[in-house]
Amino acid sequence: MDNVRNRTALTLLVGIPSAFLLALFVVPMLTMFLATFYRFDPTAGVVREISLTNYVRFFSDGYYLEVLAQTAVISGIVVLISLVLGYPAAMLLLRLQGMGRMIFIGLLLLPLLTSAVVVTYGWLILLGRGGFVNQVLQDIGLIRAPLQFMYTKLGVVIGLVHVVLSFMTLSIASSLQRIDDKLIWAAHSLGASPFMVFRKIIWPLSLPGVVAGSMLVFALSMSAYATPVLIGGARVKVMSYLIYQQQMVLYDLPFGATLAVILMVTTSVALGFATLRATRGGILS
Amino acid sequence: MSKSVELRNVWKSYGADTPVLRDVSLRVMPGERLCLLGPSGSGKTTTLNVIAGFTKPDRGSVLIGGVPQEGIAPHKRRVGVVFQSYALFPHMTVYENVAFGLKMHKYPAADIPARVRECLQLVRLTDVEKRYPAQLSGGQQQRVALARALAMQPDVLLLDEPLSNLDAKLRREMRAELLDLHSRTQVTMIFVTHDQEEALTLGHRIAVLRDGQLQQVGTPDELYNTPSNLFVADFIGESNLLPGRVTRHEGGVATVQGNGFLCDARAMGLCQPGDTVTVAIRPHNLTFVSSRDKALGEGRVLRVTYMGGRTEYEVAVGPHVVLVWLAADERPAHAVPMEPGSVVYLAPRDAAKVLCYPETKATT
Amino acid sequence: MNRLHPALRVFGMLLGVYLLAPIVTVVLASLTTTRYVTFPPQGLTLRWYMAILERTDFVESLLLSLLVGVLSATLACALSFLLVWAIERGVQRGRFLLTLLALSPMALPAIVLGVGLLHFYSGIGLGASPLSLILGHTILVFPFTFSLTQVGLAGVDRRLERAAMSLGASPWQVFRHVTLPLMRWAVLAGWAFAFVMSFGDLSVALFLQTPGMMTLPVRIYAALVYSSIDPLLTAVSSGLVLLTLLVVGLVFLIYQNGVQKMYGRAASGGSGRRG
Repeated sequence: MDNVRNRTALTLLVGIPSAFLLALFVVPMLTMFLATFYRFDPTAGVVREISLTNYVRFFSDGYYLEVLAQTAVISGIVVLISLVLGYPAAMLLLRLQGMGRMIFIGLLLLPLLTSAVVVTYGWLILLGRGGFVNQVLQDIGLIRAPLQFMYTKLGVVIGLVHVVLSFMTLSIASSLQRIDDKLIWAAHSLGASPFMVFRKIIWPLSLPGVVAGSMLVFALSMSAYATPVLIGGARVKVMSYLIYQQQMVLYDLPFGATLAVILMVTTSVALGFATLRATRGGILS
Repeated sequence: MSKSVELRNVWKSYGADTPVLRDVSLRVMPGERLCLLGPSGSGKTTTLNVIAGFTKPDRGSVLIGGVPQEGIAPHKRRVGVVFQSYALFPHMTVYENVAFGLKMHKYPAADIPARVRECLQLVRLTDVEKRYPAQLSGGQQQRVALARALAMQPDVLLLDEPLSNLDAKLRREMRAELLDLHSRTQVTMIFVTHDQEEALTLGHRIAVLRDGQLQQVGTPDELYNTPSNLFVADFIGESNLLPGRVTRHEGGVATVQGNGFLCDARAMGLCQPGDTVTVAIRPHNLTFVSSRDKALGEGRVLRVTYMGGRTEYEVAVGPHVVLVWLAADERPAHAVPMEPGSVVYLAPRDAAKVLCYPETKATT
Repeated sequence: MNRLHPALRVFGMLLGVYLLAPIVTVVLASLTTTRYVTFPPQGLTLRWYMAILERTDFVESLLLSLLVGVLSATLACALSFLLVWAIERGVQRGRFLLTLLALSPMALPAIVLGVGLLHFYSGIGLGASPLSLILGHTILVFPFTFSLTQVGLAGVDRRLERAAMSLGASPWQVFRHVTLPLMRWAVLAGWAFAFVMSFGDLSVALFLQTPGMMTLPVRIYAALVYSSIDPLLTAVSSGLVLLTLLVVGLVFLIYQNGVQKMYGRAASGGSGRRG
């Protein structure tokens, strides 16, 4: 079918959803951004005077920078682990056929599709001090005293990797799939060992998927709420938790908004890159 | 009802680049089989698209049955198209595919099953109505595509590279079937191909395209024996192309002196004494003679290749390598050794088919 | 190296265990006969599932979640479709910007979305309500319905549309008989994904709900905070899981059925067959 040439039709097609997104998303976010320049006074409420106090407060207090750093570090670890797990998972995915492949994809998507509350509840049951994992480890004799998973960075990482793994795996898999088999055969015929083939051919050619997946996972980890808050609780503080605290507990909406903006800027940049790459290729994944 | 197709001074460019079609004018008679032949990028598929209405020409007009098609959308033109990739609807059965055009043209519902069956019989396919395209072989898919395009009895049938996806044996079969189909339906057919052999066998006439310009339009015989320029001479069939200089021109025949040869050739353009020209002689138009007097040149045999139906000799004449084809069991009347290394004398069999062009390979 | 190396196979199985672990745990724990949550469960019973029916608060939440899920998924799909069509078939420049706009909700933490919307709705007098929740969820799932719809539309071979045109189909008929059927699976998958996302969402719903009207995940969350040892909660949670699986399973079946017809067994994973 020919492209839409009719101007009115095109305007409507673009306009209606854009208006919806703009009105119900962009505008609220902009007002929130504006709120970062306001002040919160416990007695007066939100004072609409423009100033940079919130930002100054964030950058001058080590505590907040620490939380941002901790969020970033956790996200970084999640990226690394999901890369280490996701790469072989991608290779496995491409070698599976038919029903096997379907099942594997289903398994990968299951953490995504299931509500965070349910998944965390499961981790709670499994990872508690008296939980199944600790019991098994003790019964086998690997450990003597129960390990602490819940309310630790370790637990948060376990939970986050569980959710984001599918993104990394599918991203890498799509890159791997594009590699022409014949390149690998050619390399073999020229005398390259399987390891060299991986190092010199497969790995470099899969990099786009690795990079895209890493950026996506990083962005998702930075902005995750349910998993780190439910597993980490008050003891592993991430930016999302602070935002919740500021907004719903302390009612300091301007500062909460500030935290959100700073988090958003960091995340948007990463996603912007991923989108650029995806739209250039013409296919969104 | 088959109709004529005419293109008048059609120009087409995509974007600001060089035009894909340049001043193309062509007239196809009703019921004729016309082949659009040319290398890839020559504009042949664009020509089809323009006729079908998928693309609008920048300048010029398209007429079907004498009626200008400007402003008439593709779905209103009665042009059947068989795409190179067949473009069968994967989510519909063979029956539904063939019936599609009939439904769109509001063919009476009660008559559709019979018509579908008729079309499938026309392309010699039975028992596949309920299958999906993915379950058919390539050859079967093509037949369904043909049946689908013919179902609504189009004025014109366009075929994009109909034989290029098939292996050699299937190609031969399909060729015969297309010809048979044409004789039974008498629909105007326009083929697109890059294969000159296909063009020679399928077309009543052939239109050679190059870089968007028509080089020559004629019957296979005309194109083979009197190609109008060097490109066509080189593109159709195999030709020896030998550069030389005109020493004499008389009554349309030029005498050409080249490095290692001297011969008379029919001038296919302006070939004045002193001009640099190219002589074109087909390999099977050459033979070996016993002495220098009757020859156009002397050469040394480089290689002999036995090719089943014929034997190919590569002969060095001056700086050129000339191909000579002899039929498998043919031996010239004289007993001259013709192994690699032998000195031989070449002469044309039919002097009237030795041609010369005012271009050289470098300028074409 | 295309065979399934045994090490890879083992890795796959371990990974499968990891991926399934928490979910299977909840489902199995819901079968315990004990009055407290324990894993592995002791004994097997369905009484906790029966007990749910007596809890009107949970049933109400379930119905609310279903309603919100259906409406927001549908709205998101409809809007996505318009935008995808414009981008794929109309707009030349600005594709990047429009795509960025469509995906931008993904850039935010869901809670920021929730809070921002809460502000905004309060500001315009709407406040927290089912409507604001539906609108909020629509925004939340939009990037996903958009992406999937785009994949679907981009995957339709334009030559098939031309073929239909050459056979006399008007632009609307081409859409109805060729384009839409061929992208239907993607739109359906998008809808299902959106529904499941909305149904299971905690972060946005946490801010856009009122005490009288909690979605199911929020109610579970609230109950968890209060007491995590009531096996009833595991039953509710696993009910959530089962519903999710049901929706996904249905879509999967439709997809299999559709793709199998169209592209032959090879595409859906089985061995190809030549007629």
